Amino acid sequence: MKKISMYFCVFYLAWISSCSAAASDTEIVDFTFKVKPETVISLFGDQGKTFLIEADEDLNGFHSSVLEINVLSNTGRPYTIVHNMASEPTNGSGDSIFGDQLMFQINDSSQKGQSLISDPTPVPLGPTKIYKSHQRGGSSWFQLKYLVSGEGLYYPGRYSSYVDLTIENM
Amino acid sequence: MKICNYLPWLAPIFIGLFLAASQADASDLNLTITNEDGFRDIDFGVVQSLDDTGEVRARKYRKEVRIEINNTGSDRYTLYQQFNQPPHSDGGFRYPIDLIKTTLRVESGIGVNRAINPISARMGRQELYLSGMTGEDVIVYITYEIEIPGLQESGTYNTNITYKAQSI
Repeated sequence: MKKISMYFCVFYLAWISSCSAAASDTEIVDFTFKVKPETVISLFGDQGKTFLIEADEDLNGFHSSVLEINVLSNTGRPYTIVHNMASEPTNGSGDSIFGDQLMFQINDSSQKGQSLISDPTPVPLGPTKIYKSHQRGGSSWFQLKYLVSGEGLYYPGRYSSYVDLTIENM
Repeated sequence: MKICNYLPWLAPIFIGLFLAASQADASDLNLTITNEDGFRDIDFGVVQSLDDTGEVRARKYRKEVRIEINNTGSDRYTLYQQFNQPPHSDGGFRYPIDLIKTTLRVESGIGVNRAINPISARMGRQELYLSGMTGEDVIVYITYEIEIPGLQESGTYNTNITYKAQSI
């Protein structure tokens, strides 16, 4: 009787072990994608990328025009925006506006970054940093306001120049 | 003591072990994985969350892998996937794992397709396929679709998937 129960135990254990030896196979695969870094600046003036300050009637006081600037960035890195007016605005006769007659100021911002020209400041020639992003980069939006004074202008007419706005990584 | 005295004890043990071994050998599952480029890994390459014109919108990208399961036995089996962690970038940014959709297509074989419609990825096991009652071989294609949200932080995102075929 003892032998029979022992046989039963051994066969039972063998059967259990055969059942628990479930077949399986495992593979591990890498899953990867690379998100491209991009930083894009867009300008919106009252006439697209051209903006016009009219001071035909009243040459006293400042006249202004606002440029909206939108920066989209997915790099997660800080950046600055550099303003570069290559030359003073001139009319066809070579007369120019300069010094306190042309000022700029960052009027409003998305609060994430930092304006470097919070007060009206004469527009310098050449590259000048005007805005610093949040430490972790990200998107920014602000208004850049240009102010023109007609005082001291002897020659009416259309004065024009070009401005470049570029993004520099910090 | 003679060895004959032990035979009544040893014989059932050997027979039992033989049965266990033969039973285990009888059902062996084998997974073979290849992607559409002929490799194993799933690499979407470069994707965009913002284009150079400044347009922000979610974009979708797809990759397909082929999985062949050979079963030398006749036990029913299941195939599941397991994402071991949400994709994260080298810069420490995370990607929402539920934006990965899995769809399965059965090329040859009879069984139950658990991902005939796209299912969102999540942590833990997700059963994708249940074989027929007698565990027939199967070839399936799994399509992964990732949706890159607008302005998702740049970087190389990585995770891994464990595939397991297991008899039940």
